[in-house]
Order: sequence, then structure tokens, then C-alpha cells
Amino acid sequence: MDYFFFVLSVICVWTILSLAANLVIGYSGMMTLGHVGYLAIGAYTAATLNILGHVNFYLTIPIAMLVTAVVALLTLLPLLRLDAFYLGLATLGLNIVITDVLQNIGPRNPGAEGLYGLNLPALMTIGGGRLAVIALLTAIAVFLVWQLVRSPFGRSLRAMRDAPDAIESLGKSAQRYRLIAWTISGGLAGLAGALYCTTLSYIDPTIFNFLFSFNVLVYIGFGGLASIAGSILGPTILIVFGEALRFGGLPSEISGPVQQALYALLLILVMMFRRQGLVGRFDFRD
Amino acid sequence: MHFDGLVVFRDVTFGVPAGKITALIGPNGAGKSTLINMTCGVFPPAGGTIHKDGRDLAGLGSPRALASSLARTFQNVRVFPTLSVIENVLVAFPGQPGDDPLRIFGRAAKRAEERNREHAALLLERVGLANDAGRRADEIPFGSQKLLALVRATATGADTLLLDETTTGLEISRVPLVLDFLRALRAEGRTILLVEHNMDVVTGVADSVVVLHGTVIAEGTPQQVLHDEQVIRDYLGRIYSA
Repeated sequence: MDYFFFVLSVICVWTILSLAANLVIGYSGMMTLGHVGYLAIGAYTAATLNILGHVNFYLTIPIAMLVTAVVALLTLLPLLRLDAFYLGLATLGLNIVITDVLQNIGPRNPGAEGLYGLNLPALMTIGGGRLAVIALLTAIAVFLVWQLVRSPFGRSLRAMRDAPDAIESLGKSAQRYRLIAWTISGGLAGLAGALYCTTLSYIDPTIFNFLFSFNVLVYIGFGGLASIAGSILGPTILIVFGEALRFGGLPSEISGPVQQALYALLLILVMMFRRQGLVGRFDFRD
Repeated sequence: MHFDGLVVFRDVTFGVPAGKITALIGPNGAGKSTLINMTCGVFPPAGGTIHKDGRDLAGLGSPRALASSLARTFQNVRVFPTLSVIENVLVAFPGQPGDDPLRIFGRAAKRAEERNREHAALLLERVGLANDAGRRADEIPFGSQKLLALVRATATGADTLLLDETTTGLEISRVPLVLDFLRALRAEGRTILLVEHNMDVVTGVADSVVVLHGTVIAEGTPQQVLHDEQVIRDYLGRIYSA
């Protein structure tokens, strides 16, 4: 049963990160290949405050969100004028820089290379309780993002994505929408990071490898761009699929590479036959 | 105005009377759309001034900075293709509380949205697009997209509209709808600069006409301009009669 709770918790975390990535890719037309870097910042902020600062874990969550949102905003500012391709490359570099900084000068337990020993609230020390908290926060995140993209702000965001020059001609700043969407996305990644570290027994920067950012792209590419449902379905189906492979009789040393290869094949097939993903509403050709 | 040494036009001086419709006509490549782009701040003029309400707009900067008093349509349409027809109009309304993420749950946002939806629906009905309100903008015909762009520019509330070839690609049967719409805008006190190739539209609504061909070669009432010898020689090819 604990394994089941663990998998569902991981699905929730990646759902939040998929929402974050979809907000900037699907809804805003930007590109990010390094959102796992922001996940790392959220995780490290929460873990450091809790383990080394003895801050109540619940309190570390909004702090992690705020810190990550601010970092996201500050890191986008110099990159704001880049178009999607170059922005993607720059964020890839950003992810590597973040994990390198954490690896070399990041906080850690004395004598260790990373952080361990989260002091979780009683409810979160049991699998079901931890899942309940994570699931509740995921549901709140889904609801808020859903409301945001349905609002006049979300509508203007999609208009900015479609035709930035046309929205400027209506008196609205394309850069403003990009900055706000990216900052909110950073906050969501911070939330995902804070919750993610509750599923880990040891937190070190190598977990937040930039290759994980490709997983996020696969989840939203498969589930659907510019779609809340796609941000939920993508990680849910693919993570369940990946876990199911473990029970398929494959030796453990090859199940990981096989999973990656199947993800890649799935992505190729989706891009060939249904570019907007299972339930997506946007295609970069639009 | 010139691009990389190619002079598009020079010594262009004309007035657009407030609350009137001025048609800007001329052959392809005369610089009509360039003039609109310049006026809206897409790029600055190589020299000279553009005055509105006592202010020189030339070089003021971005189109966004000018959008509160100037609205435009594009020659190549530029609707928001993945948004619905009515969403294209809703985006244009200024000062929406719900455009601020921190206010999306407020009652002001909800009331403004309801009000704007009613207003948008009325505008779409006036140009015959009410039945297309829920369709994606890239799914409606090109002529309908032109009408949508006109409605969207109107929704900004700007007192001056720069309309670039609004009737190009439009079915002839819908042109009277556009003329009625433009007359209604004039009755509201809006100032319109209308780039047109359709002389029926020019004679149907324009209070004055300016002809651009390297420079301004004629300016006056439609009757005066369309009987001008140089205009006939350089552009019309014949005397136009409605």
C-alpha cells in the first residue's frame, strides 16, 4: 500500500510541474528545457529550512514557492527577448548552472553531499497522510491554474502567444504576460519541489538532472499542450506505464533504459500523428 | 520614409479631420500600410512629425504606448487564430480587472466580463458575425476575419481608427454592413483613416480622400479627387462613376 501511495504522490508532484511547464509552453508560447532547475530550488529551499533551520514543514512550502518564483522572474529578465528556440537553450543552461551551484556550494548536512532527515508533520510521516496533503495541494494548484487560464488574463496570454504584435496594438504588453506567466510557473515549480522532497530520503543535486526536464516535456507533449487535463493525464498515464514496466518481468538494470526508450518512441508517435497531444488545444504550427 | 535606401514616400502632408472618415487611396506599393505602421509607432519616420491632439506621435515609441488613442487593423488581418471569434473581441476591451491575476476572483472582474461579453455580442451582430462567435478565428473565412479585426479595433474604445483594407476579400453582399458600421462609428465621434481600394466604399462613406503615390498627389472630397486628372492617369485609369 505504501508503494501505491508513493506512486500517487510522485504523480501529483509531476502534475504540478507539468502545469508549470504548460503555463509557459502551451499557454504562453515560450519554451523551457530547464524547469527541473526551479524544482531543485523549491526542494532545496524547503529541505534546508526544515532540516537545517528547523522550520515547520508546512511553513516551508509557501516560502519555497515565493523563493522559486522570485528566482524564476530574475532569471527570465535577461532572456525575455529571446524567441522560443533560444530561450529553450538558455533555460537548459540555467538548469545546469543551478544544479552545479547546488552541488558545489549548496546547503547540506555536515559530512554529507546532500540533505537528509526531513522533520515532517505527524500526518505526513505515514504514506496515506503524506499523499492526502500532496493531493490536496495538487488539487488546489490545478483549480487555481484552471481559473487563471479561463480568466481574461489567460485569454490575453493565449492572444499574446498567437500574435504578440497584434496584442501590442491593443495596448497590452506582451512582455508583461510573459513575465507574469513565468513567475507563476516558477512558484508552481517551487511547490512541486517542496512536495517532491517529501518523497525522497536523500536530497542531492544529481536528482535534478536536466534530463528530467525532458520528462516534463514528454508529459505535456503527450498529455496535451495548453490543457489542464493534459497536464494531469500526461504524467499520470506515463508514470503508471513506467511503473507497470517494473512488473513486466524486465530485469531491474534494463527497465530504466527501456522505459526511457519507450517514452521516446511514444513522443515520436504523438508528434507524428497528434501534435497537440491527447487532449491538447495548441499546436506550435498555429 | 525609406527602407535601405528605397524611398517609399517623401513630403507627405495631409490632415485627418476629427470625427470624419478620410480615405487613403493609391496604387500598390505607394506606402499606405507603411504610413499606418509609422503612425502607430511600429517604426519612426525618417523625418517630419505626426500630430494628434497637439502631441507629436513620431518616435513616441511602441504601438502599445499609442494604443489608448489609436487602434488599427492590419493589412494581413492578424486575428488571434486559436481564440474564438468573441474572445478576439473580448481581448481588446481596455481596463479589465480580470486581466490582473490577483483580481480574477473578484466581483468586479465578473461584472466587467459579463458587460464586455454583451457588448462584444452586439458588435459582432452588427457585422453579421454573431453566429460565428464560438468558432475559432482561423476557421472563419478571410473576409469574416477582416470584419472581426474591425470589430476588435472598435472594442478598444480608441477615438481614432486606422483601418487597412477592411473590405479586401469581403463578399460584395457584406460591404453595405461595413459601410453602416463605419457610419455609426463616425456618428459616435470617432475619427477614421481608411485605406481602401474599393471606390464604392470610398464614395459611400468618405468625407475626404487623400491619394498617395510617392507623395500626396491629390486631396479633397471624393468627387474632386476621383475627377482629378493626375489621379486618373496615375491610379484609377479612368473616370470613376458610382
